[in-house]
Amino acid sequence: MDSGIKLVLPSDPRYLSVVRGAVERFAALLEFGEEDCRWITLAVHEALTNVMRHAYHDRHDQPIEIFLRERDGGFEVLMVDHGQGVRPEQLSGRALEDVKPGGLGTHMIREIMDEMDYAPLEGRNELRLWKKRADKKAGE
Amino acid sequence: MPLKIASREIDGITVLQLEGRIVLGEESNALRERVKSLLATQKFKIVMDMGGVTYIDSAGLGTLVAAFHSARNQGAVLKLSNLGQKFQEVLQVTKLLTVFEVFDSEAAAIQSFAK
Repeated sequence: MDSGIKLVLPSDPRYLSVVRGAVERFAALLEFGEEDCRWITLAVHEALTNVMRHAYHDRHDQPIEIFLRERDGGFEVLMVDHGQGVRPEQLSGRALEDVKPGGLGTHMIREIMDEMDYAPLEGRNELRLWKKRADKKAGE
Repeated sequence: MPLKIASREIDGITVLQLEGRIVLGEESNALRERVKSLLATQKFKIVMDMGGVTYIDSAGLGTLVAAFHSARNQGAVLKLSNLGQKFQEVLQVTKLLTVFEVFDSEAAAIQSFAK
């Protein structure tokens, strides 16, 4: 069995801080630097709020599963929901020159993570994020 | 820590001192409502002191952008002060750093209204 953890939570923003805590500590466990831990945590937070807002339209009682694991020298996060899917091209983020509220989260995720794959499947949506761990310098 | 918003007035300028996180949910809503009520009561010079903000996400940034637009549309001016390094980095990633008028300190933000 792959080493990793699974979180199951309702789509209630009150649980965001719980997930942030778990993700930050898991990244630290995989020996990511403090700054990377913080950025990865923000990326997962953004992905999770996207699910709450756009897949579940702010309903607070819908299921979300999050799998955290080490893969290929990096940190992989798989987020699964059963809400309304979006077309993958809608996740490209918008032009930031157009200053307006909303649409910033996807851009932040893409900036922070090395890979972002979204798949609307039969009855569920899967978002997979991956960030490579920076190589340690000699002597570290 | 949930968001705490303390308000005080200095020379006709409303200073909102923010402490805690500005994220999706009650925190962002509280900030939105506070700015809305300031504008409704003709408080048109606003400084948000961000020194105590520990965390901000895209929903929080969206709230700030919306507040900035609402203020400008009503002839008000909204300035930010005392941004921590982490906050500045998030604004950089989202290219919002140049959108807001940002000052190193609350005093500098207040003083800028006199110019």
